[in-house]
Amino acid sequence: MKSKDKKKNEIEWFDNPNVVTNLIILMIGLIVILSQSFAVNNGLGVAEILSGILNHNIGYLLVFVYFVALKIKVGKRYFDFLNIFLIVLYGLTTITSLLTLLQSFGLGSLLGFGIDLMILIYMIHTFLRSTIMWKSMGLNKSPFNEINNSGYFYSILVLSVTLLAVNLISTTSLDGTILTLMDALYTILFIRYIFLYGEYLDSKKISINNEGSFEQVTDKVKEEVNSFIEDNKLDEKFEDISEKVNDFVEDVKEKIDKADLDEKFDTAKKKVVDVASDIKDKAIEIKDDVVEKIEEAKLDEKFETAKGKVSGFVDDLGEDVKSFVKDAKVEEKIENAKKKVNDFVAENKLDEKFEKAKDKVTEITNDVVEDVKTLVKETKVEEKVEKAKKEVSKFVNEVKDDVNSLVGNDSKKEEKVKKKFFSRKKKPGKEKNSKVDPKKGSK
Amino acid sequence: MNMFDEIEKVKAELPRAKTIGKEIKKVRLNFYQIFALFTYFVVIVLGIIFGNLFPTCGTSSALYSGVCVTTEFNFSLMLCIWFVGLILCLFIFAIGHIINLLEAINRKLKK
Repeated sequence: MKSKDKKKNEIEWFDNPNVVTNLIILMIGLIVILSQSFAVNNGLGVAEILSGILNHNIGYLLVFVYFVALKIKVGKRYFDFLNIFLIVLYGLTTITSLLTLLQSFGLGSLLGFGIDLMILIYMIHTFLRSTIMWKSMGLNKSPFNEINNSGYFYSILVLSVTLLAVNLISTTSLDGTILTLMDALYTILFIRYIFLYGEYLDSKKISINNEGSFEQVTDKVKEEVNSFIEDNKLDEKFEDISEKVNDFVEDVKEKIDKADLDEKFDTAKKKVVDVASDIKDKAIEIKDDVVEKIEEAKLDEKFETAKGKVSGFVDDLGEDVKSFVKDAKVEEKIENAKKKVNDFVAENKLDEKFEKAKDKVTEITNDVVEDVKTLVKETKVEEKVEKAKKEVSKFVNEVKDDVNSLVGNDSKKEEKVKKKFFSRKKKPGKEKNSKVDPKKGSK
Repeated sequence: MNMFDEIEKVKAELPRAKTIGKEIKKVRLNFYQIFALFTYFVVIVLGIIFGNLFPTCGTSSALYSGVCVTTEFNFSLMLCIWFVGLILCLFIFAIGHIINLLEAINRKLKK
């Protein structure tokens, strides 16, 4: 662990993206401030400062914004967006370099255009590798992927050094020399930053197209594994362990030889085989005995005959039941009877006849009722009944008076009269009228 | 921790080109907004032309020498023109957007 920590601490400053970005910010600040101060020292006018110095610094200021944003949370969150901003910025710079090349063709402007174009391609193929645009724009099939990360870095480095040399040759002042040196340093630091990001991506996702970086990664892995083995003295430990294992195996072999395990195993095997053969023989003997006894008692034949009888009986019974069920056809018969009844009713139109008869009965009853009413009216039965009632009541009253006059107050005579009259008139309807007041007596 | 590891943990993904295209298709521009976009396109071209017309002194090595051997495209002038044009076109675009909103309100009031 300590060795690992040491290795982490041992990372060179140019391999640390934090240090590189800090240096870029510092370098841009120095370039902007120094260019302004040099302009004032050299007595340049406002127009020259605005055109020359501002034009020189504006690109740096925009890149300054990018690197400062990377130090903030928001900038880290929108890292891909900032990268696109940087690509657009360098795209514009490349176009202006091209226009510069067209305006004043020379080695310096040509190299400047070459550097800008290379940086633009390098940025596109590095910053967009981990984004969705990598596949959607077809960058994974780009021929520029053939150049590996270090190839880009060193080619731009060579170009920028060459440009520095050209500029240094053409410069006539110290301020210009310093500024040119700082420009070159900035370019180197900037491409170093892109290189480190490319390395980071290679370490995370080993690109198939990028053979050089893959080999580098494998070399790094091998180096790390070897250093880990060396640090932890794994070779020695492995040798010790292998020796111990060999010793243990030899000990075990010796113990096996001493214990005569093979012989014991053979004897046990023989015993098991003997016991198994004995059991097999006994089983065969028992089987033979059973077979003999069966043959002697003719159990086979009896069993077969009984079996045949039972099966015949079961079959006959089943057939009888089936035939009975078939012959009976109870459900079919019920259905047929229902059908016949329905057909008979339908054929003879019994429903209609019944309805007609019902109607006729009602008509007859109505006629009878009317006839009775008319007869009653015509014959004046009610009046006759009333007259009869009155005559009867008169007759009863006369009879009552006669009886009273005859009977008087003598109870014996009353009883005799009652016997005479009421023994003859014992009908229940006339009992009320035949009642005689006992107080009045009879004649 | 490596700076790129920190960035990788928190960084947001870029939107897909299809989704951006769909969003752009949804936007309905009126005359003012189309005019603003057209104007900005003209301003971009003008910026490039002016940057080329008024070049600056070339390489940084010759900035303080007093003699301009090579001239350079005026990047700062181009950016200035672009910036001014952007503000102007944003103003026109915003007017178009306000008119859009007013028309939408009018349509709702008529209903």
